[in-house]
Amino acid sequence: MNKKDQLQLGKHFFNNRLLVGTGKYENHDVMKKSIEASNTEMVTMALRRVDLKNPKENVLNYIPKNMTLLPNTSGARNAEEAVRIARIARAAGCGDFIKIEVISDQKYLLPDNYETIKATKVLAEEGFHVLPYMSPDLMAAKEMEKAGAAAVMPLGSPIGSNRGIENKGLIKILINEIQVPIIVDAGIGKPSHAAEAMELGAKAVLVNTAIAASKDPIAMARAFDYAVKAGRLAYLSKFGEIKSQGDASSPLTGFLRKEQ
Amino acid sequence: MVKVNGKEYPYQGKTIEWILENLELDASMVIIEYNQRILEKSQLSTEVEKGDQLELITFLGGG
Repeated sequence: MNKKDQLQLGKHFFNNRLLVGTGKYENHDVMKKSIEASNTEMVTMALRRVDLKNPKENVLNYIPKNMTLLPNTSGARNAEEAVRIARIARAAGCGDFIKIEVISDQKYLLPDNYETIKATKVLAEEGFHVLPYMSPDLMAAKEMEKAGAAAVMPLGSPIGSNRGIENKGLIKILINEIQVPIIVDAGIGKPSHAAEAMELGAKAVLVNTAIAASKDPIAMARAFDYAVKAGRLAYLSKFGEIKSQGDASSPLTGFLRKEQ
Repeated sequence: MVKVNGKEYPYQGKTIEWILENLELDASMVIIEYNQRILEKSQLSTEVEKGDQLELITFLGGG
């Protein structure tokens, strides 16, 4: 039991349970300030071919030093492609965390659990701290855990949809049955969704669109920081019973009536 | 011809360092995959040959 209530992912410990993505920001400066405002300790990023006609700057230049990097395998349509991206990311000096994201469904952007399990096995064996992004399914989560994943990341609702924790029931089952941390990733649209995930028992959340695409990403990042802390503290404080009837909070008074 | 990011360029015989300069790229900002292997920054003087493949990869924002 750790006194500081740290998030443990494999051999690493974190003091903050909000993970933040770097996509969709208006510019790198807003992105950098939002990341700082969120107090996050881990950010995700993607790897792509340099656009030779229009080479943009490397996003890593705008991420505060000492940040743990969580490169994702976005673009991969199968396990082999995901493994290749992961190896490139590690060889580039990003550390050994990898978010496996294998998506061939372009309509809903739902991840391919089967290919993700395969990639998890290979990469965990190569010493990566694997965080697989997945569609909440208990059997798939068990396979990922068995394969050596450091956490399992079920989607709350489709990427970028802002619809919140639509998969609440299935996510709760994962929280109950899987030993490694459950990190809700995708679909979180508001700080209240993040708080909801934490109250459910998720160990962390990953948020990108809700912050980056808001009108004031820096303020929104701060709001998410508060929400994740509130949700976690609430979860640890153990909720009161849910009752079907009312149960007065103030003591009954006798002095208001003539008869005692 | 040499393939760079999927397109053919007449770069055979040139060093990778030369290619990056020609494409106006900063070597410190890209990851170089040369014939499917990550190239160490110390190997930029490697001369490419006909049929070689270079992938120039960078980090972009993502979720």
